[in-house]
Amino acid sequence: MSYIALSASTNSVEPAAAGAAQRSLAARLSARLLWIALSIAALIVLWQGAMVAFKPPAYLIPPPAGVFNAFIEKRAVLMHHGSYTFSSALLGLAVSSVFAISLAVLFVSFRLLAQASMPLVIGFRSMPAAAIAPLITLMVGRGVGTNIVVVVLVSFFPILVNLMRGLQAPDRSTLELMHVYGASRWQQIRMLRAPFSLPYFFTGLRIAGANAILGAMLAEWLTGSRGLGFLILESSELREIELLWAAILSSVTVALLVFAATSAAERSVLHWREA
Amino acid sequence: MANPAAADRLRRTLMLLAPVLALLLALLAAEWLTARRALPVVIPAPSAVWADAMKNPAVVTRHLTPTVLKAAAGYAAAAAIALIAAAISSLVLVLRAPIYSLGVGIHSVPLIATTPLLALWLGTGPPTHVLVAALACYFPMLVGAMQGFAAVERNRRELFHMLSASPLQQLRYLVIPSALPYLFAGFKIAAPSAVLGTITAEWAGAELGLGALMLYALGAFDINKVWLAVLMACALSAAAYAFWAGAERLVIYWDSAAELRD
Repeated sequence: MSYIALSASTNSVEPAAAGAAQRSLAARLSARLLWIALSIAALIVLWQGAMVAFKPPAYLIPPPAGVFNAFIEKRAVLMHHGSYTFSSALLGLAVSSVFAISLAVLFVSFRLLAQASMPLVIGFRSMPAAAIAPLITLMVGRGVGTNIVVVVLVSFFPILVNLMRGLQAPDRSTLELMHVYGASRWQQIRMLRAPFSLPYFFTGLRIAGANAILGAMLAEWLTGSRGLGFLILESSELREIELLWAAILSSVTVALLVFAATSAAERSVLHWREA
Repeated sequence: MANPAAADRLRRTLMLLAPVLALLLALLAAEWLTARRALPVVIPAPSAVWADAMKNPAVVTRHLTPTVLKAAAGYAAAAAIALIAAAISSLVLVLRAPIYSLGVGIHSVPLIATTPLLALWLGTGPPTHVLVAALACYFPMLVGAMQGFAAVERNRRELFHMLSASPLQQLRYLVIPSALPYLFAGFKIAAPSAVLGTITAEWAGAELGLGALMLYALGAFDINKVWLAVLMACALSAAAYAFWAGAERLVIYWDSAAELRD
């Protein structure tokens, strides 16, 4: 009951309050960015200091300036491979979200179906992606398809599990209220279970996002055609230390970008929880 | 049959039997379909994969043995370090938080991104593979051991105190039994990770090993060999899990599930 009242009031946030919330959000965001920039700067200073103090051989750790140069000189290469990894991770995430949402809705609506297919789902879940990636390469080929299938494989279950938990989150009395009003199964899902499950869904999506980048890079090791995973492996084999470090840092950046993308999606959908 | 324990055992056996039966059915179906050329070329007949393995068993053992040894070495090293770290953290409470956060840090390092770097530093030989295996399986064991060493119930400890048990007796009859369920939980989860970590490290460069075999077979488009390597990898990680599950059954004869539920 209280939940329905709460969601009804979300559409009528007072403009002044909304403006203040936005201002404070912008302030918080810029403070956070400043903090991130400062810690990166501190890390670089530490890095350079360690280089001067310990003088490690160049193959162990390159100087920051060298890595920076690699970023500038090889920016086209890094963009080429980075955008491939980023887009295949996002595409895979979208595919596994669609699958997970439809499967979760089916499972919640039809108990028997869920019970019958659970062993199958658990079997799929315990398949190690690192072990069966070669099979996927064999079946799907050395293109972007393998990337997407591996990403789906590693990102599907976190979304499904969290979504199932979210769809079952409404408490008994709310469900009974829906029942008393004679809500159909679909109305029950659309008006009650779906809004309840959104925070859970985004929790799952964030975990899946981290897995997705790793899955994409794992697939790129095997397909050996494009992507940051391929670039990291190749530059390691060719002893291009500076490019290797630039590629590793790019993969961290891509992971952060995916995290930011999922967080932005969460904020834009769950704006009512901001308050 | 009125005996509930016997009925429970029967049900459990059936639960174990069902996946085996499903697997057998799938194998038979694959055999039947490939004989009729109803499956794509990339799915070979199970008998063809088996025949390929039997044609040259030396290839199988030559690649399987190094992976088993490296995974076991990495696992053992990680287990030893995890046990020592957990023991220290339960004795010196100040160190508890740093040891745990270090474990979280190790766990969140993406091995896919850093293994090539390790290969550059340590070479593409066994040391890199063992290190990656250890890094891959350290955290679950640390968590299990830390929880296990902290799992002694207060009133049981008081009882031992009242009965004036010696420290060694406390360790033998109190600390170890109450830690075992958690230890086994961590060790079980970690075992497949060690195998998968080894294989991942072998992808970054290895002469021998299941990961190397996968790459060779993929490069040569040797479909039977790819399947063979993948099936062996899956079987190996499942066997590593089953080994610890079996050991748990043998060692913990009391109802540990009841304790974990509390």
